[in-house]
Amino acid sequence: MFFHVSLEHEVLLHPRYFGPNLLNTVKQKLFSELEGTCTGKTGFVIAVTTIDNIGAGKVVPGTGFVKYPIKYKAILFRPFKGEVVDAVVTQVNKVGIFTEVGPLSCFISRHSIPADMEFDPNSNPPCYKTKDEDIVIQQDDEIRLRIVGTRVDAADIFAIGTLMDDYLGKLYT
Amino acid sequence: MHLFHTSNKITNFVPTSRDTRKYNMSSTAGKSDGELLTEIPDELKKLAKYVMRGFYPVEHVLIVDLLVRNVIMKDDDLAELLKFDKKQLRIMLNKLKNDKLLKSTLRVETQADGKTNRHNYYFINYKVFVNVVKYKLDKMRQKIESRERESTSKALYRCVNCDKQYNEYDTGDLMDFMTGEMKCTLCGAEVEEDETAAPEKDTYMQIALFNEQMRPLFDLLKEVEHIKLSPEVLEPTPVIVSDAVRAKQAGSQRGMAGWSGSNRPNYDLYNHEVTINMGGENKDSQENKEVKERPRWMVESTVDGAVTEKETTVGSMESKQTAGANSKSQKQDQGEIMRALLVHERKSGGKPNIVAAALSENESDESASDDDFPNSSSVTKRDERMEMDEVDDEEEEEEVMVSVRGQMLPFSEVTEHYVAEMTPEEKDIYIKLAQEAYAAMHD
Repeated sequence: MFFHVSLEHEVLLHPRYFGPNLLNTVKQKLFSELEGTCTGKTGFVIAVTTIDNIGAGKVVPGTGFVKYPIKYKAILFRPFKGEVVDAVVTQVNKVGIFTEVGPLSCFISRHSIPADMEFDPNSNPPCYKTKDEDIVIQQDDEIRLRIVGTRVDAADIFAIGTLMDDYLGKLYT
Repeated sequence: MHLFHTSNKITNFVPTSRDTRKYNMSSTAGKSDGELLTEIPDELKKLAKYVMRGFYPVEHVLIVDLLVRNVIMKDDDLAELLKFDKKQLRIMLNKLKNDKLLKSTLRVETQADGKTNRHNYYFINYKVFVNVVKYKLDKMRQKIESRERESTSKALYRCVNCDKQYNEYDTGDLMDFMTGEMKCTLCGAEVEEDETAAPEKDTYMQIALFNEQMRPLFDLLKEVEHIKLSPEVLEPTPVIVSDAVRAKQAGSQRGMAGWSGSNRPNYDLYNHEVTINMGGENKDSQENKEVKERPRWMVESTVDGAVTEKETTVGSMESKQTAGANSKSQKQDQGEIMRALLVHERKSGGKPNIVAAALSENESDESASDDDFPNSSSVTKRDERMEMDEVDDEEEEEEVMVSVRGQMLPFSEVTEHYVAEMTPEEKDIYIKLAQEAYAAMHD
């Protein structure tokens, strides 16, 4: 699910950037440090929308860096258990389907795929399909899945999904 | 929708607008909220029945059904009505008590003859019942949820080489997207699915199935949520029911059970006069029944020489009625025996005078002792009828004729010579008669 949240961050600025363009550099540093990252608490930071306030910088004793506390707003993406999301298939395997929901990787185990869909290793590319070939899921297809569980690493989130519910599976647009 | 339902606790039920509507409706029906109810509302009874039928075997269902209908009963009553073995019944009652569905109080009664009886009186405390049901349903739901959670964290993948187990969550780390295979982080060998740890297919659907199947119970629980019962209803006092009334009630209950719903109150229990009968009454009805129902063809046997049923029953009835006078009954019995012997003797061909003398002796004896007895009019009548039957019997005996080539001969006079002369049909008839007589003789 997406969130638009006010957060705080501290940027350490090397003295080489001291000059007239200082604040700009601080903003750039903020963007590069945050956008595209992920933490367990916030989830994925998709984009920083506004910078509300850049506080007074303080020189860190011993290193010479200056610490700026910044208040900003950002768009976050955080998966929740039970959430239904649209995903793109990245790999089809005999153990299941690997998908991506934006920055999030989601794996659908073979046991969470409806029994009528079988893995066909012989087709090119390999896919999951029903017996009458009514539904075929292969790489780069869009599917809708439900997130069953999430695991949060240091800087990453990994999810497990399922297709075993109504209205889940391949999307036709 | 149950998208984000992480804790769907039954007890945290917040009434929606739909439910408050139901709430208001029941309050306008006469039971205002906050007031203690003195009668068990139908929803509670329905809930009890639903719960029992859903989770318990049929014997327990019957026990609770009876207790729903009669507020409180003792174990003997239950055994009598259900026709259960007392030991079995006690086992079932203890199980229900351990499950906290029933409660019991011990009551010591002193009977008329001074003996003290200790009886267990069983009843349903509906407040506790509802709480128990909520608790158990909640526990079930938790168990299913935890099982579902565990199924996702079960070790499903195993390294071929070093046997290290992996989770579904690890697949992201293990998967090598170039080759499309999973590589073990320790030894680099391929990781395969573990067949032995394959998850059950339906753990996933179980929570949905549980919610689906328990929905009527959840609805009933919502309805009974606001019911408050008065203390008298929650802890009923045992009612002493006398034996005769209990028997009557049991009979009427069995009759009513077929075609009346549980809603009909058991008037027999509350509007009755206590009458204690010693048992003579029952017998009277029984005897009347007997006298009425015996048709003529049953009374008089079509077989030669058989002792008529009417004689024996009349004799036995008489012996009952003359409870006091043992001598008379003995004489009656003797008379019967004599008559039976006579009948058989006569068949063999003789008409002994002794027999006639004995008969007349008995008759005189009977008439003599008849006078002794006050209510003897009916008895004498029966005597006369008996004698008449006796005479009939003898006449009948003489009348049984066998035809030999068209000629009618009495049965006793048919000899082998005559048998040889009979036509085949006549012989068949003769053989049948002979067999019947033979059987009667050896009865």
